[in-house]
Amino acid sequence: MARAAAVVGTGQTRYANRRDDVNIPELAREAASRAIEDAGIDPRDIEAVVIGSGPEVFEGVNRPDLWVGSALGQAGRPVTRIQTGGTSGAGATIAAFYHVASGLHDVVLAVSYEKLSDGIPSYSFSTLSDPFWDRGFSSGAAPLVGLQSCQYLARHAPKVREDHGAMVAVKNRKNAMRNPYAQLQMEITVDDVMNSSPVASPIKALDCCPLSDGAAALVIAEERRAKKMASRPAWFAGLGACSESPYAPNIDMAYPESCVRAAQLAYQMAWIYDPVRELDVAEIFEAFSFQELIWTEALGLCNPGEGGRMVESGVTAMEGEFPINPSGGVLSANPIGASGMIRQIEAAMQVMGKAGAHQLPGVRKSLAHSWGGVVQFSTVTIFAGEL
Amino acid sequence: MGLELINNLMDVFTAEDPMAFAHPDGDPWADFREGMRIEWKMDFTYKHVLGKYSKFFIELTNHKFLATECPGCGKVWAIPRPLCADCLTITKWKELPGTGTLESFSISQFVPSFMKVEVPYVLALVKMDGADTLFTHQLRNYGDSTDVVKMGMPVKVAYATEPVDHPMLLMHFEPA
Ligand SMILES: [Zn+2]
Repeated sequence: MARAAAVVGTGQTRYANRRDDVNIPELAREAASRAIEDAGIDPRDIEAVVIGSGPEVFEGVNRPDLWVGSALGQAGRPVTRIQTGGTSGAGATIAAFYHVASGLHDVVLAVSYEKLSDGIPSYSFSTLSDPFWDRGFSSGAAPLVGLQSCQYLARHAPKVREDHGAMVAVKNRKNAMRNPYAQLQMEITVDDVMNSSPVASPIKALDCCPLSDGAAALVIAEERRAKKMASRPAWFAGLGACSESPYAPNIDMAYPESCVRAAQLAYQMAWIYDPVRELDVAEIFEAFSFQELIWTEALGLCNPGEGGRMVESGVTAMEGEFPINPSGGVLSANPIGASGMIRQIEAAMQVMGKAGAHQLPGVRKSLAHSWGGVVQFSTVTIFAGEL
Repeated sequence: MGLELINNLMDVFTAEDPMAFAHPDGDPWADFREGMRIEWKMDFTYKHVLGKYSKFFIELTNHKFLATECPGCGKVWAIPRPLCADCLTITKWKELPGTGTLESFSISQFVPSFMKVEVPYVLALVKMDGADTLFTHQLRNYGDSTDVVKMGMPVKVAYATEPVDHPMLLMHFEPA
């Protein structure tokens, strides 16, 4: 039986298009020191470290776990690295939870980072595709998600429309204005999004996440230590991490099974029967605006085809009945390997009551989601304020 | 002599405190704001074996579009899969007509500079006739305007007539 464990401290860096003031380990350390400080502990209290970051090809650094591990003041401790694309950061947290839940360690640090400005994203993204089937004509993430979005819109037309994506972009960039770490803080209109330059139909420039440098970290502790370290820890209540076919054409991208299954597993573990009633807020990995609608449905927060109504009616707004991405989401910053962990940190902070200017009132349970690969990795994490 | 001794130096600069709003008493890293950036070029060549997929590409040169059929559950896979992902049975090659319908598409107005393709670039997700799965590739020769590209549009596999840089480029889709 798994031991109870909770997030007791979190740390983030300012997300930016370029962080010229730091190298990679310095960036990771910035987040890690903030998390350790937030937990009110000494770096020497950490027993093991899990690092999450995107593919090595992004930064051109191999074995970054060894380089980063010692820079965090954790030389000599066990270090594990997780790399599952966009879910790397969330995967690192889940692996750190396993460390604690298993009883092997009492206090574990999970750190994730990405420094995309060190590399050449347009080139490195093309190498992420399958070397046989996709790489010959691959042109990065936007056209793939364009296919996904077009398939989704066609399936649910006229209930879901192109401007529903724009409404997500407007909402999340506005939410980001209350998040001091966000990279894009913008007051824009649906028309601004609809008239922004076409990228990969139906995706337009303002439907896209930025490229970011940034790091995130959190400290996880077992029950007795967690209660001492935090007045209101964010307890792990449910987890789901699923994968499916390596080939995008074999996946129903408009309703991905890996996401549906990960949510079911997490709800089962957390004894949640009616997620939209029992949860108070969700942080969803929407690298492109239409994905927030697709994931909202796949996570069972509404029925298939209802994603558009969720945003249009204001349900998912900051002041709505079920806010989604009060932090501004991935549309406001995307240090890829860290983004999944940032969703978890934001969801945990809402439960801990530490989300600052974008704190929602009375959050008891929150959900964090991430996706990676060619839409075939999904993670769902549920935090609760009470054990 | 000085910095010009460093052949791969890109620039030297003074970095700003990205969290100045959090440091009212001054920048804690004030002593470490001199920055420099270097350039490191890497040029590797990888050698990929195409394994049990190889026959698909060999037959493309004969203008044949192959899928695999599972003798266990009957599912037809295109992209061909040597092992049925649903029931884990070893499959058999099966030729398909190479026609299908557009299940989804995305039109890109620009592509990364290393891609030797025309823009607008149309990426297509196609339901292949005779297969139970979808297949992705570029849609070309759609005429003067991408307006003709529509959901459900019939398409067909077209085969390369000029040498290509990747075996997957031996084929693409065109309107049927
Ligand atoms: Zn089968």
